[in-house]
Amino acid sequence: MRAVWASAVMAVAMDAFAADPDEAQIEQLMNAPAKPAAATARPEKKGAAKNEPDSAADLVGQRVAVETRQRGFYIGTLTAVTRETLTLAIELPARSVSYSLPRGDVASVTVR
Amino acid sequence: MKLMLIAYALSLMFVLLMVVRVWRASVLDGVLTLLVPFYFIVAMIKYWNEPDHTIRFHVLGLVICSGIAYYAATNVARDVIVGTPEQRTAMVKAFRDEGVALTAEQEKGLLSDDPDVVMATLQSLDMESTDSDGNADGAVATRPRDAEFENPAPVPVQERPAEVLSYAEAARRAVFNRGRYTREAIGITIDVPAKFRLISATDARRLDQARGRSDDTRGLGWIIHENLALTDPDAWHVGVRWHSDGWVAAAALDPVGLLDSALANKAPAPRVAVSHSDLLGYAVAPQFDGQVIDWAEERVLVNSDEQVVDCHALRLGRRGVVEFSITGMSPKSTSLCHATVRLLATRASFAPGKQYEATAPAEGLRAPYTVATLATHAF
Repeated sequence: MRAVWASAVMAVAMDAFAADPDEAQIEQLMNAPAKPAAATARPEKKGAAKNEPDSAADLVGQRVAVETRQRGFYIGTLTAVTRETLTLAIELPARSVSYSLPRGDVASVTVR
Repeated sequence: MKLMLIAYALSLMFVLLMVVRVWRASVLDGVLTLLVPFYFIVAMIKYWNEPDHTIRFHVLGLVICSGIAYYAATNVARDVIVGTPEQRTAMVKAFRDEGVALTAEQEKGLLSDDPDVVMATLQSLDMESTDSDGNADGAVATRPRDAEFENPAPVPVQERPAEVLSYAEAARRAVFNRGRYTREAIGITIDVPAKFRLISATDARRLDQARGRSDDTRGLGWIIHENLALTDPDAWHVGVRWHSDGWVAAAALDPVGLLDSALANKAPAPRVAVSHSDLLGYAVAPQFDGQVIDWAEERVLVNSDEQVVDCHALRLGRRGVVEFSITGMSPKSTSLCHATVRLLATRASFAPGKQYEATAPAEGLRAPYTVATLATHAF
């Protein structure tokens, strides 16, 4: 039984080794359960958050551009700032949408 | 009819007897009489004075029988044309239905018991028909000979019913292709990754129709992962499309500037395939490496708060752009979505001479958009 398992593991390892890195990444993402972006983001240092002033809080009410750690960009009016999320009001052609970004996923916030 | 058959049979018999007699005199002449048309005249003259081999009476019999057969055949043809009184009554009715205006004399002639009168009437009708086709000024031409062509109202055309398949049936019929996919006319080759399968444009169109979607004229096919079931309508796939708009100019990509432009554009006209939704932001900002531009958009469905991700990767060519797009994917799968289209775009390649170059070609079509405006849906 162990031999069978070992062979299966070897076969999978060989397959992954032979595959293109990009293909291997896709296979990994296909097999991994879908996780929200916040879960994959780097967690914020609690100690630092306590001691340092929250610069984003000063930008509430202003139009800002938020860059995420996954090379994402969002533009809107900053309406709320908490330890966990930044909330933007984004104007769509027919309505306004409130959009929340996990703080751990935010790389930078700049005024527009 | 019987007379014709008997006459033909007698003619055949005379021919055989003739050949036998000549064969006895000379094998060569016999063979030639049998095979060469009218050679029996030579044999008849040659053996005219030889009592054992002469065939003059056979030729006489053959001529008589052939004449009788010809006469009988002519009568048979006339009987067929004239037909029975019932058939001629039906013919007069058919003429009326078709809009052919018959005079009283013509109708009487057609219904006559005399075959000669019927034939004469038919011949006169045929001549009038020829005259009306060739000469519109003729008196007969004024008659509404064909109601269909004279009718000014549009004639309803029986359209061929379109084949409507259920999605399950369309998915069952789809053929999965692996390996290299080449489109000679465009000059592009896609090296489909080992775990993916390509579905032709025809099958993709059938699947779209089964879901009530409009026909995508730019579609080259679908690419689907082998672990996903095509029979599942919710399974994601990569749509492959070709934009034959010409050479696309490169431009600097400032993600914030592009997003600002895209959000300010209240009437977007996307070239790429997008879900029925509004743009929220770039889940992955546009980047261009000189050959491939790729980005992912986070969007919110129209009339709904559901958020989706649309991912795009476009490989540029000299005469157009080949697009790989996934639309309506869950934001939780953004990484998979973006990595997949990016991988496929890098696996696509143009043939020599059709590859993209940063400098505009001296001749040929130029796209009315740039790399930057592709990502803002503004044209």
